Formats: sequence, structure tokens, C-alpha cells
Amino acid sequence: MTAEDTVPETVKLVSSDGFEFIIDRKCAMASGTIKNMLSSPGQFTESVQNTVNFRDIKAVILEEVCKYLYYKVRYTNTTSEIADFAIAPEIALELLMAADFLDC
Amino acid sequence: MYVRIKHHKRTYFVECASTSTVGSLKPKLLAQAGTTADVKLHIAGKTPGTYSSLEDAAVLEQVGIVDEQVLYAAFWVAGEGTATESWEAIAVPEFEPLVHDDDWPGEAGDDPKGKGKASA
Repeated sequence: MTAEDTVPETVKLVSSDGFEFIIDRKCAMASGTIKNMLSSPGQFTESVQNTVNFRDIKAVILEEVCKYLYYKVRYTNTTSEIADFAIAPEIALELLMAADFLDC
Repeated sequence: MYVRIKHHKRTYFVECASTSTVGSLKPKLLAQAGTTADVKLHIAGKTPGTYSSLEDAAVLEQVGIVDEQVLYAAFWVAGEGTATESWEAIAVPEFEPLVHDDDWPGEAGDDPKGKGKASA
């Protein structure tokens, strides 16, 4: 395809209310659960279409999750100062549950 | 850094540098969207509901685009002339708000059970 190697390697995460988030595959792999879903040896829909449907995670939460995955990938294995990841208190509970489910 | 480009119900996370131009963002977005139609990028205006379009040559830093900023995409609708109505209207629905029950800390277990997939 093009010279970019991250462009065709994207993953689509779909929230419970039908919002789609298209992120880099390497960031999606920062979540243990997503990584397992996408690299399972069987022919699951997820691994074939690069899409994961989350029927119990709302778009607000999923967006924060995507931001966190980029944050995690950027600061993994760096010695530079790591900025805080701000979390609004009203979403903290659902974000916690989603993070637990996604193992990230 | 990256920007979030919203279009209808989709959000594309596109990586870029603050010194790159709007023009360089477009091919990345088109490749992720899987379309070759022309696209225009917009930024939110001062008042909610208004958008101002971005020139291709504009540098992200100069326009004031920071990390994780939200941009809006409008695709060109084929078969139309060059009238401005041919661009798709930017209609990004709001996310569903989170619902807070008044007595959620004391719930007998309905909600946690519903989300029990986390402990499966």
C-alpha cells in the first residue's frame, strides 16, 4: 500500500451506542484483552475484520480508553517526564470497569 | 501527537507532528477511511455549532491545534457541482450521557451484574 506502515494497520472499536473509533493497531495492542481478541488463532470476526464490538462500553468511556492507549504507548519505556492523565470524576467509575475488562 | 477527526459517528485517530500541515493529514485520513473522495477538514468555531474550514497549507501549530484536538471532516458528495452545499453537513451526534442512579452505591446488584462481563 503506501509507505506508511501504520495506516493499513488500524483497528476499529465500536461502542454500545454505535460510535466507531479507529485507532492504530499498535495502540490497540496495549490492551491485553484487545490483543487477545485480535490475535486469536481461530477465524473470529474480530481477527478477520479488525473490528471489536463493545456492547457494554459507552462511547464517552471508549473515547477515554483510546486516549489512554495512545498515552500509554507514547510513554512506555521512555525516561522523559510523564504528564498526568486527567480523568473526570464522573466517568472514573465506568472507566475503571472498562480498564479492568480491557486489561490496560 | 495525534488528532481526533470526527465524521458522523466515527472518530479517526490520526498521528501527525505539530509542524506538519493540514494537507499531509488528509491522505492519512483518506487511507484510514478507505475512500478516495475529497475531504475538507474543519475546526470548531468560537460559538458551538459553527465550524471554520482549514486550508491545506496551514501548519497545525499555527492554527492552534494541540495534542488530542478534535477536528471535523466533511467529505465531498459525488455528482454535485462546486457549490458549497455539496459538502456534507458536519453532523456529529453527541455521545450518550452517563446515567447516574441516585442510589447507585447501594444498588442490590443489578448494574454490577450487567457489567459482570469484566470478571468473566
